[in-house]
Amino acid sequence: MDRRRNDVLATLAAHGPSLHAIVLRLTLRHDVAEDLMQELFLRLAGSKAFATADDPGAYAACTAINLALDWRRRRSRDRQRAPMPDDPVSAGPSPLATLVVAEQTQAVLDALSRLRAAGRQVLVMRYVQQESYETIARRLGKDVHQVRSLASKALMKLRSKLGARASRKSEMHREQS
Amino acid sequence: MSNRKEDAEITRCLEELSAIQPQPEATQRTLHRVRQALAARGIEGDARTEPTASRRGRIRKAVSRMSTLQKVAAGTGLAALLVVTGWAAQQVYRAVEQGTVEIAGQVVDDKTGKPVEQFMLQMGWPDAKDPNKVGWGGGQTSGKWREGKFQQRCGWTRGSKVWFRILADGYLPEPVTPEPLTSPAVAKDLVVRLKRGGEFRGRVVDHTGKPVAEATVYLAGNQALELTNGQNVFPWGDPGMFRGSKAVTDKDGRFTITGAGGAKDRLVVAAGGLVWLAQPQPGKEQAVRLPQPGKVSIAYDIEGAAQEGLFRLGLKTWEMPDWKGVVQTVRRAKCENGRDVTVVDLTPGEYDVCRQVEGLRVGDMGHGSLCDRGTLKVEPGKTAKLEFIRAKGSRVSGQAIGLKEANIAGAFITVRPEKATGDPRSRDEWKLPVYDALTCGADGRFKTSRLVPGSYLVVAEAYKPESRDEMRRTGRRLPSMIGTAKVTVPESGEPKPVRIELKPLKAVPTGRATQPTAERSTRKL
Repeated sequence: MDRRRNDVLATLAAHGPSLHAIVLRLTLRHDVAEDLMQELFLRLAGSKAFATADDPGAYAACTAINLALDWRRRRSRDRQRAPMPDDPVSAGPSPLATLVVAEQTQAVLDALSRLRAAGRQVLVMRYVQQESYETIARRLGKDVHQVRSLASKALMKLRSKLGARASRKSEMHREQS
Repeated sequence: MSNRKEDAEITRCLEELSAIQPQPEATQRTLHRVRQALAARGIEGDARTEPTASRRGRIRKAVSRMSTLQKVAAGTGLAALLVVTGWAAQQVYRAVEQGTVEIAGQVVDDKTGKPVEQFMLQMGWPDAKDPNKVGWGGGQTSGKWREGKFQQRCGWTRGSKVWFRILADGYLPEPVTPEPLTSPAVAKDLVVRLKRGGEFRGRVVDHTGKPVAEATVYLAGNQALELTNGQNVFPWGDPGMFRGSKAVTDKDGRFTITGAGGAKDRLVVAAGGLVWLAQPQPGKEQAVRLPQPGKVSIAYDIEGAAQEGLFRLGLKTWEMPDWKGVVQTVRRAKCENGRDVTVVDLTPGEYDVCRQVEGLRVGDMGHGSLCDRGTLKVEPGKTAKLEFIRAKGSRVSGQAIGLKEANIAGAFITVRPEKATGDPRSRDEWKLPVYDALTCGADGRFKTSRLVPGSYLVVAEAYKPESRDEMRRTGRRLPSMIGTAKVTVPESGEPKPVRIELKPLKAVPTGRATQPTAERSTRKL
């Protein structure tokens, strides 16, 4: 118990800021990042796998990615249940470019949250955290070829999910019109 | 688009996220809260141990002695020191007085015994005026509560009572424990059996008598209902807190709502933006006739103000005896600067209206502001006019001095009436109108939107990043530095740039009178 407690506190001291950055980048919300960080460390404190992990920092990073993307998946489900109120006067054009970029990012992150754990972890580490394939391989306990292959497959899956989403949207627009 | 191009687009999107860097203060605050959470579970090394009864008694006695000393030393140089140490002692006293209430259990349907998935746990406490009455507060839900199971742990003043009840769609409100709990307390393995209440049947028709389809009917009164643009959502889009019974009308306007039987049952009908309240009549089909809606035409033209203005129209339900405490309804509308929009389907009545300035942020401090607040009457079938136009006057530029020396990232600037004091501790300052709200960077330079000719007070407030100890404090955060400057906008031409000297906010001992009461001043439209 003492060893696990020390591991949790050491991880918090050494990797706390980088974990916070990961969670914030994937949720894009400060308040949620704060909540998820608490949940992350409480989960680590009760985890047997964390206590036996070779690299506690990498284990914590993977858990953080999963937590943040799980939150995103749950949130998109809730959003479907309770849509934004229709604003009867939002006829005027808004800053379109900003909106398009923001929506693209949200769409990519939402699709990312629907990938398998290994694939999404690799994509986040490679593109969001900008880590090299060698570092990712070391952190995940795999070899570089496996990581490259995982990233490539995950990217393909992500592309197909985004494509399916876009065609669903255009169908909805057609129905509405 | 080819696959390669699509992949490049996706990776670009992901790579752009790497540019997001949390502010050091935010990270520090988050890690501090993580440590607190770990400490609460006994994981952090410096977790506070529960004080014994004798220690609590000694602290209480010390606080009492400190206040006696303050009275004796009043008027001497020692008084200020005693005020500070007295405040610190109060904080310690409060901290050790705090007990913990912990409850856990499962919510099931009384008839079938099956778990109820969607519910809210609401807390209540004795009413300040009548201790036998319960004042119900905010509710709690969690995505982690599965199969009807719930768990809640909270700090509560030792020796004081706390009630819990469960609210769910289609059921009567049900207390979690038959009697209130007294802090500190632990109640686990509870089973809360929810009973289906009675039914209300009815038909919703508009002012001409035509049935209204797809209107939402809420069984309100037992819990707060806040509607934004006619829906149970918060203004930022998250689902609202209401977890009571609701129904949607069919094409003939008919509805059936279950869960009736509460003492304060009221029916709230939301059809588009139109919201109406009705007294339920059990046992017969009730006709709810909606009033003829009104309209508001908003004209927005202020040079230098936000390109897309956000306007808030809140029905003054707090001044309507039947509606007060049952429902709050707000309409939010956007309008491009220099254009007009018309908001339709408004419930007739008096509205509190304003131009909302959101998302002002400097360092670790952020807030919004309600500008040009006023009252507007909306009558059935008529269009009321709401103008946010400043055709005359000019913009005011200026500089807040002292930010760089104090190592502060920027300041909040507000433009208020000339008679305002600018003191954030003044009790009634909030009642005065605000004409503009903006921020400035570390160089202190700012330029307001256009102001109509007249005299104003420009207030600059700056906040130093919070230290670890300060983050633990709750309550309102006061600015570290403040400065004001008067400015007169002439009929023609621009006023001279204003110069605001920022000075540390002087401490005022607790309990002393602050500023004189300001007169309430909102414009009639």
